[in-house]
Amino acid sequence: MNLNAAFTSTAEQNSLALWALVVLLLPLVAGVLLLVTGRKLPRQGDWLSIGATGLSFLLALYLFFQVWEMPVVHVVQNWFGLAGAGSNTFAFTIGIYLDNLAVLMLVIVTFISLLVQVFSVIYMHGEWRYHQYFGYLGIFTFSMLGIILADNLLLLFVFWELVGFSSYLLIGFWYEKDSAGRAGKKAFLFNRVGDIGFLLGIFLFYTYFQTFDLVILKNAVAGGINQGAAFLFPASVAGNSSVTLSYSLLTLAGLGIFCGCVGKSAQFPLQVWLPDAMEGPTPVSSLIHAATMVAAGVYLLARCFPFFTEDALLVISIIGALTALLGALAATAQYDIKKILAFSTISQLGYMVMGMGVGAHDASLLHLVTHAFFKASLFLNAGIIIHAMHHAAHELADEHSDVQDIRNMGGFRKILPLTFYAYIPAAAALVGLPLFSGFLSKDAILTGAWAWAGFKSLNGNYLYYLVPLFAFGSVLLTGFYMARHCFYIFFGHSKLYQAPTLLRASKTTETSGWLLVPVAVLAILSLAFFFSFNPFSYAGSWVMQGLSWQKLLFGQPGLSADLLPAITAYLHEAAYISLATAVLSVLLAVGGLWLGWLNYKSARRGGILTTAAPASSFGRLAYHHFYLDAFYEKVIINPFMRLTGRVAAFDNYFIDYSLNTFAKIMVVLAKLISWGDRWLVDGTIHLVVKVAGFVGKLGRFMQNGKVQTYYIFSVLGLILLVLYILAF
Amino acid sequence: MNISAPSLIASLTDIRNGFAFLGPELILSFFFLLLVGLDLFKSRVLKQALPFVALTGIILGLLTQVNFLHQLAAKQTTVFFTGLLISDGLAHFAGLLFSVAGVLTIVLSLLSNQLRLKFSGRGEYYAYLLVLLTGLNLMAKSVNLLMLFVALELVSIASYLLTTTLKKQQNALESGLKYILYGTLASGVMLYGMSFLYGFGGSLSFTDAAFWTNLSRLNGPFFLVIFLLTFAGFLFKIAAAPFHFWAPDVYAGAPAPIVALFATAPKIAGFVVIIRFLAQIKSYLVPALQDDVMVLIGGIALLTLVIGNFTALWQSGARRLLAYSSVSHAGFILAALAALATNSTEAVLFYLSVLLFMNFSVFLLVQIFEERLQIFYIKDLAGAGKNYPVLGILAIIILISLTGLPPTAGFTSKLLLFTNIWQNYSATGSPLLLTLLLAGILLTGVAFFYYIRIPYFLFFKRNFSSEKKVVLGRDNIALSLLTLPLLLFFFQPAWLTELIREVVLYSK
Repeated sequence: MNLNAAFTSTAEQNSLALWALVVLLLPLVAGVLLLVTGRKLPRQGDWLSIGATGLSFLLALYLFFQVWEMPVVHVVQNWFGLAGAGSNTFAFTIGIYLDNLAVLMLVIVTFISLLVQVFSVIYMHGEWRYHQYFGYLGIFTFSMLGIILADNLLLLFVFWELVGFSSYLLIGFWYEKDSAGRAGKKAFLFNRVGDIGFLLGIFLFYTYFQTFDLVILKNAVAGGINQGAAFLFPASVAGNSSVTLSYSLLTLAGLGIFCGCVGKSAQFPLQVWLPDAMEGPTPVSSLIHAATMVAAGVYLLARCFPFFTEDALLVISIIGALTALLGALAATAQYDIKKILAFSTISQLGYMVMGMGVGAHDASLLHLVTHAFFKASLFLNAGIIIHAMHHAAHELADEHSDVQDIRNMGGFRKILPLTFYAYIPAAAALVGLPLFSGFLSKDAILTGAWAWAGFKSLNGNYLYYLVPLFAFGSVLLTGFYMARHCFYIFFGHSKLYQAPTLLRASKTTETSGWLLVPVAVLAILSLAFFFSFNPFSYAGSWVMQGLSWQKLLFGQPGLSADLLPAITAYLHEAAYISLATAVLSVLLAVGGLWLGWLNYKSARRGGILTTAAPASSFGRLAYHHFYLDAFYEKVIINPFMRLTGRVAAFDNYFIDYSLNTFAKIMVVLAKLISWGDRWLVDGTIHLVVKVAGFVGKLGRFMQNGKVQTYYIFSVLGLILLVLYILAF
Repeated sequence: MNISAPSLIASLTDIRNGFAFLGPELILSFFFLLLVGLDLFKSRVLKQALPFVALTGIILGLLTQVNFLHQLAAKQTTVFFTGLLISDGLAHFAGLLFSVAGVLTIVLSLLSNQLRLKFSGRGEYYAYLLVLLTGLNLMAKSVNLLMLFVALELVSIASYLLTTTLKKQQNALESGLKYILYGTLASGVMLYGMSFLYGFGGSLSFTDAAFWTNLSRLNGPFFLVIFLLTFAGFLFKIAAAPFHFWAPDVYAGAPAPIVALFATAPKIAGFVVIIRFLAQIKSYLVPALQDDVMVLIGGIALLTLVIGNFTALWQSGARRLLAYSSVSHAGFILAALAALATNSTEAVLFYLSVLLFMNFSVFLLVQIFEERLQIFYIKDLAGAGKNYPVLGILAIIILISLTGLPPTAGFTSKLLLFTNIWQNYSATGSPLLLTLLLAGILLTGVAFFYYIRIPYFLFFKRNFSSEKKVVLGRDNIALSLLTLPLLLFFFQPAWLTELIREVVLYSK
C-alpha cells in the first residue's frame, strides 16, 4: 500500500495540526515541570498547570471554530520504517486527525480538566504531594488528548496505555492507604485484560491490511465486497493483492477492538474496577472516571465503527444493555455518595456502548458529551459535600463515622444551598428530565435502540426487544437511585453534624468559590438548551448533526453496510417510536423518582442511620455488585494464585536446588583451581616480582649518594660492557 | 705551518659564509650578552623584565629555525666553518625542539614560586639558560670531534650552574657538585676515547669517509673499546647506563623547570650526535665492526632499560621516579637505534618530540604538587585527585602517555618505535633486535606498574583531611595547554610525522 501518497496537506492544515500539537504538549510540559521542580515553585506550581491547561483550552476552542463542520484536517508524517522481507520496508506513520468529533472532544477534555484543576486547588490544599497531583493530572490530560488526536491505531494504543498509567497513578494517589493502592492495581490489571483483546484486534487488522492508519483502514473496509460468509477486499484497497476474509474473522477482529472498550469504559464483565477507582481523589473521579477516560472506549468505538460487522454490533449492544441494567441495579443499593455515582457511570457508559451497538452512532456520542458535563458536575458536587463532611468530622475529631455514607448526611439543602442548586440540573440531566441535556441524548439512544429492535425483529425473532427493554428499565432505576441520592443528602436533617457552621466554610460563605464555580459552570452546561435549540427534540441538535455517521464516516458505515440506512428507513416509517420513547422515558424517570421518594420515606421511618448492608437478598446482591468481585476472586484469582504458589514451590525446591548443587560443585572445582593458581601461577608471578625487585634494589644500592661509588660503578659498567663485547 | 694565501682566503670566505647558518646561535649569544648587561642595572623593572628578554631571544631563535625548516627543500646540507659544523634538517629540527624546550622552561619558571620570587641570580639563571641552548644548538650541528667536545662542555658547564640555581636549598649545591664531579669523569673518558679516534682515524671530522676507513683497519675489540670510551660522554648526556648515576641526584636537587629541560633538551642533543655517529658507521665502517657496534648499542639499551625500569619500582619520591623513567626512555630510544638502520631516525625523532611535551607537563605537575600543595612523596598524593579533579585528570593523561597507552601521543611514539624495531628485525633476522623488542614491551608493562601508582594514589586512596586549600587557576590552564599536544599527536600524528619525514630527507 503506497503510504507516501497520503502525505499531502496544505499549509493551513499544517498550521492547524501544529496548533493541535501545542494543545497536546502544553499539559505534558506543565506536568513534567511540576513533577521535576514542583516543590520549589511558588504555590507548588498549581498556577502553571492551570495556566497551561487554560491555554490549551483556548487553543482547543480556536481549533473547534476552525474545524467544526469544515473539511477534515489530516496531517501525516513518516514515523519509522522496519525492514521487511526482501527490499520492501514497512513504513509506520504518525499523524494528527482533526474532524468534528476530535475537536469537540478536545474542547471537552481541556475544559473539564481545567475546571477540575481549579476545583482541586482547594480540595487538595495542604496535600504534601500537591505538586505531584497536578503533575499527574497534566500527564493524564496529555494522554487523553493524544487518544483524541491520534490518526492511527498504534499511536492511539500508546496513548491508551498512557491514560491507563496516569489513571493508575491518580487512583493510587493516596497510596499510604492500603485500599487506594489495591484499587489502583486492580484498575490497571482489569484494563490490561481488555487491552490484550484490543491489541489482538489491532494485530488482526494490521496483518491483513498492513496499516494502522485509520483513514486507510476505513477506506479499505468500505471497499469490501460482501460475499455472504466472507468479504472480498480487492487489491485496490487491501494492498498488493486482493484479500478474502471470512465474516467470522472480521467479527472477531472487531470484538477484539471492542475488548479495549470493555476494559476502559468499564463494560460487563470488566466493570468491577470502576467502583474501586473511587478511592482516588474526588476531582480525579470526576475528570477521569466519569467525564473523559472512561468515555475513551466509546470514542474508540466511534472511530472504529466501520470495522464492526453486524454480529459484532449485536454483541456490543447486548453487552452495553446488560451493563446499563447491572450498573443501575447496583447503584440502587449503594450508600456511598461516590459509589452511587460510579455505578451510575457504569450504567450510562452501558447506554453509550449500547447506542453504538444499535447503530445510534450520533446519539451515543451526544450522550458522551452531555454525560461528561453533568457527571463531572455531580462528582465535583459530591466533592464539595465530602469536603464539608471532612471539615465537620475534623472539627468534632470524629474518626469513626464514614463521611461518604449518604445515611450520615441530610438537610444540606439548607446548609449548602448553592451546592444544592448546582446539583439539581445535573441530577435532572442524569435522570433524563426534559429541558436538561440528558433527556436529549438518552431519548436519542432509546429511540435508536427501539428502532433497531423493531428492524431486527422483522424476521420474527422478538428477543431483540430485550435490549431496549433493559435500557428502559435502566431509566426507571436511574430515577430511583438518583432520587435516593438526592433525598438522603439534601433533605431531612443530618443526625451526625447538625450545626451548619460545622459544614460551611464560615457563617456567610458556604464554601470556597474555587469549588463552587466549576460545579456551577458544569451544572449550567447540563441544560438542554446548549446542545439543541429545541430542548425537547434531539433531532435539531447541532452536536448530533455534526457527529452523524454521514459526516464522521463520510457516509460509509463499513462492514455493517446496510444496517444503518435500513434502521433510518425503518424509523422513518415507524415515526411513532420517537414520540413514544420520549413520553415513555419521561414517565419512567418520574416513576423512578417517585419510587425513590417512597423508599426514602420508609427508610427514614425505619431510622436511616443503620450502617449495615441491605438485608433483603436482592439488596445484598445489588449492594455487592452481584458478587462479581467475589466470583473473580474465587474462579480466577484464587486458582491462579494457587498455581503460582505451586510454580514457586517447584522453582524453590527443584530448580533452585539443582542450581545450588551445581554451584557447590563449581565451588569445589574453583577451590582446586585456586590452589593451583596460588602455587603455580601466582608462584611464578611472585618469583618474577622478586627478581624484578632484586634488580631494582641493585640499581638502588648503586645509587647511594656518593660520587666515588658512582665512579666505581660507571667504570665497572664500562668494563662489563667490554667483557660483554668480547663474549660475543 | 705553511698555509698558502689562496687557501687562507678560501677558509676565511668559508667562515664568513658560515655565519649565514648560525642565525639561532648568534641571536642566543647576543641575548646572553644583553641579559648579562641588563642584569648589571639595579632597576627593579628591568630585573622583572629579564625573563621576558630571554623569552624574546629564544622565540627569535625559534622563528629562524621555523623559517629554515619552512624552506628545507630549497636548502642543501652544508658543511661550514671549514668542516666544523653542518647545517641540515636534523640539526634544525633539533634546534626547533631546543627552542620549544627553552620557551617551556621559561614558562615553567614563571609559574614556579621559588623562581618567581626575588631569588638571587635570576639574571644569571636566564643567561645560563641561553648559553645552554647555544651549546645544544652547536652540539646538534657538530661534525668535528673537537667542536663536539667544546659544545658538549658548554652544555655541561651551563647545566652545572643551572643545577645550583637555588643556592639556599641545601641539596641544590650538593647535587650540583656531584653533577660536576661525575660530568668531569664522563668528559674525561670521552676525551680519552676521542684522542684514540683522532689518532687512528687521522682526522677530527667524523663525517669523513677516510676517517672511518682508517678506523676499519683496527681489530674489533680495540675499536669497540675506544668507541665505547667516546660514547661515555654521549651516554652521560642522554642519561643511559652505566652513566646515568647523576640523574636521580640532579633531578632531586635542581628546580623543576631545569629538571624538565635536562630530561629533554640535552637528551635530544645527545641522540642527535649518536644518530650522526651511527649513520657514519653504517655508511663507512666495515660490516664486521658494524655488527659489533650493533651488539654494543643493544647491550647498552638493554642494561639501560632494565636499570631504569626496575629501579623506578622502588622509588617513593616523584622526582627520583621520573629520573629513572627518563633513564628508561633513553633505553627505549637506544633499542631503536641498535639496528643501525637509517629508517629508525623518524621514529626516534617522533619519540623525542613527544617526550619533550611529556616531560615538561609531568614536571609542571611535579612543580604544582611540590610548591602549591606541598606534596613531595607519592604516598602523600592520597585523595588529592578528588580535591583537585582537573589536576587529577590531567595527571592521568600525562602518566598514561608516559606509560605509552592510548589515547595519547606516548602510545603513538612507542608504537612507531616498536614497529620500527620489528621491521628491522624482519629485515635482518637479528635475535638481538627481537630480544630488545620483547624486553621493551615487557618493561613497558613494568613501567605501567610504577606510573599507575600515581593515579592510584590520587583517586583510589582515601584522604580524610580533604580540604581544598589552593586555587590552581593558572597552573591548571598551563598544564592543560601542555597536555593538549599529548592528545593532539595521538589523533593527528601526521602533522608531526610529515615534518619529520621531510627533515630526515634533508639530513646527512
